[in-house]
Amino acid sequence: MWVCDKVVMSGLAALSVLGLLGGCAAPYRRDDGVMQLVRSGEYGRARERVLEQLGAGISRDDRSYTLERMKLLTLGVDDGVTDATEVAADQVYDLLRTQGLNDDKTVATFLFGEGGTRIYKGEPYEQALAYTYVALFDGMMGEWGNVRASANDSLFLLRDFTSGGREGARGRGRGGAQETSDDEVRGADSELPESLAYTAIQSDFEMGLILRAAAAVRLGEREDAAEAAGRLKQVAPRLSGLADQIVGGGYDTVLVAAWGTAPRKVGTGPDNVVAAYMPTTQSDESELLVRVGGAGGSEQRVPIATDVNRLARDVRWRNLEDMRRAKSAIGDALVVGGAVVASSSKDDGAQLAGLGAILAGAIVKATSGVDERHNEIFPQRMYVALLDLPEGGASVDLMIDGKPSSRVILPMVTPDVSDRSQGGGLRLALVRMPMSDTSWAASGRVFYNNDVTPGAAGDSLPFVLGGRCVRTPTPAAMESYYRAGLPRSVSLNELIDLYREEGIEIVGESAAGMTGRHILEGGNWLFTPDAGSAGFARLYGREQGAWRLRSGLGAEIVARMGGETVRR
Amino acid sequence: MVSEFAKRPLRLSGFKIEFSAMCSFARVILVTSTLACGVMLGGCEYAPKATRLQPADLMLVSAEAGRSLVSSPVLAGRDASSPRMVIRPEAATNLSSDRLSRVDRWGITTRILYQGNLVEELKNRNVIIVAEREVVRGYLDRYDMTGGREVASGLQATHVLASQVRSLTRAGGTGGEGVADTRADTYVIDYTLQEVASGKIVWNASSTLRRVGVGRVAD
Repeated sequence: MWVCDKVVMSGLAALSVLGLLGGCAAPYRRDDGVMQLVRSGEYGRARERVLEQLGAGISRDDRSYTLERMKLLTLGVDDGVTDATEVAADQVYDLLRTQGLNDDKTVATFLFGEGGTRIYKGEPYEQALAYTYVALFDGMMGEWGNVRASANDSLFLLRDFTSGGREGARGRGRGGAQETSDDEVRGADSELPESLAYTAIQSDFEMGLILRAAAAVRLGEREDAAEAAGRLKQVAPRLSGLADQIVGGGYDTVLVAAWGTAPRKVGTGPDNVVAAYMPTTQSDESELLVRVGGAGGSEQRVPIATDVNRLARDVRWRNLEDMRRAKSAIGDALVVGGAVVASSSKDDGAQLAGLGAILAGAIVKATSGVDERHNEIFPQRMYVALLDLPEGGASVDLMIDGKPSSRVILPMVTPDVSDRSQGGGLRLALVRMPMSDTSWAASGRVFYNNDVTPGAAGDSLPFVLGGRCVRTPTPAAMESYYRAGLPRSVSLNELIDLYREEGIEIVGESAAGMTGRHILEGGNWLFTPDAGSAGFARLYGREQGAWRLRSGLGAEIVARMGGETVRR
Repeated sequence: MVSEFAKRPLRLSGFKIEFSAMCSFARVILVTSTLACGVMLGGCEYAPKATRLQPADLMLVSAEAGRSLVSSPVLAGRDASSPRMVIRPEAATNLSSDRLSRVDRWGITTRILYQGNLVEELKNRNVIIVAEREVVRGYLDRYDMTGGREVASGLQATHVLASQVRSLTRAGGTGGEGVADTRADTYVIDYTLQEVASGKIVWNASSTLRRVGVGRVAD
């Protein structure tokens, strides 16, 4: 008897240690530094910080692999650096589309908790946002077929736990499918207990519907566009005007504006089983004011398309809460049952067994808490405006009503004119608006020549030689440099060599991996962000510190220039 | 009450241990938990699935379409003395449920023409392929599909080779109930060769692929 108790108790003790070890996955820590950079619109620095934290790169087997890629995708798109974002977009999409990543982890999740066992894929609303960011990336690349694919993927069915009063629509009512409304697609799991029954319903994710409709229009799929627009009107009547405009046409640019930061996910309630989403940016009804073409230009007021706080509050957009609640209840039952047995029995073995049950229950309860991992970098809200820009482009001035620090002036946004003869192109631009005052966002100026506005600062030397040009080296750029005073003895190849010796990586040419910070901001990468992005306004809309030459070739070229590196 | 299960002796490393009735409760917990650990630590042979188009799918489809094109009436009767035919491939139009990279969209069409010795075969029939070199360069160079041959440019195309990818998606729970744990995507890839002057479709082919993924879609 004594031997038996010893074996059982040893086993339980070992199990508890294992459970505690597994359950004690390091709690998720939000990166306040990155958050601060995001609030001030410094997406390039934020992206670099996330990259640094990744170090040599985390393995695809890492449970937080998708989360880190999701952050890079978010920041890359926010910064308008599509070239730096393609890999992250591909990886995130691939992971999101992979089914059953956690299917074999149900037992482990039950025993050791979510954070320590599950591969992060995000709560349903985070998955929808990630798909949206992939779609935005594809839209910036002009890949509207891909935009529609990702937007469709973001519109997965949701689980509605609140339809308890509607018999026949509930998950337990197998025969009730015929009685469901249009929204209720099919009955759900009949094996679920009454309190956890649900109905699978169509998504009410506005951004997914908007992007699907716009992409379908661009692809000539009018029926799909009409269906998505109709659904948008149904789920968000405030967006009816936008839905009609998407289908009706008369625009060449889809401008998406994002602002704020996503809610913070924390565990609350008994055993922290209930995920609470604490807003880090408060929801409100403030409209976006958009003016095209400076003073006297056309102006429109745009309602919020998607409020992420709303999604996070909505239980339909959550995952696994049922399992956590059940697990906590089982833990409670084990503890109470064990306590009753231990206290009421006079048998030593029974008392030990009761204690064992208490211990097991405590372990189950301790590991039933919420997995607090989340993408804190996602925005709190998104707006969508449809613009009809002149062929030569125009400035676009954006501000959220009552929030002057959100103002961004995009100095030059041009429509996609590449295939107007075939019925017109459609451009997508994303502007992540800052949350705090900045010197650049509302400057509306371009201080440096770049690949989009190559003549903004007139003929000027390369930035590394004291000038104001950060174009990708090309024969055309060289002509501009020669006119600005660069000796003709400096060839294009020599300039490329100079960049290499200075440690500068050129996006599109370099094989150095994930794109980091721009040379204008103290980094070593050369690229031009999308002209419709906050990254473009930030990089070129403020005076930046001069480049410090570090190579022998640089010194030699400067000598050939007469030792002059004065900015010009 | 002592159950038969609890009465049964358990042999552990040569020691005989008798379990009491109450002890069985704890044993149940221990055994269940251990089994659960075993399931987790033992590593289930579970392979998550995605219903995305794979490169191998596209290679098979384009190989099949290439064979169809060469044996089609529009090319079958041609030889070196036939009037010159200039084919310009276009990137595939993606109307499917999957994201396709620009490289893949180009590859779906251009692979037909640049596979095996088809370029030479077409040349022997006085068929020339023109391509916007800078557009397809990434794909051709990446896979070295030109074999160092020059890609003609600047010629007026007489025919356009186009393709389109469509798909039908079904997702649902097992037996039509519960959380979606099965997704099936049926992809249809259509190819057309259109005569520029008349607008007539002189050849077309279609391939269907079906991919099924098992596992919770949202998890």
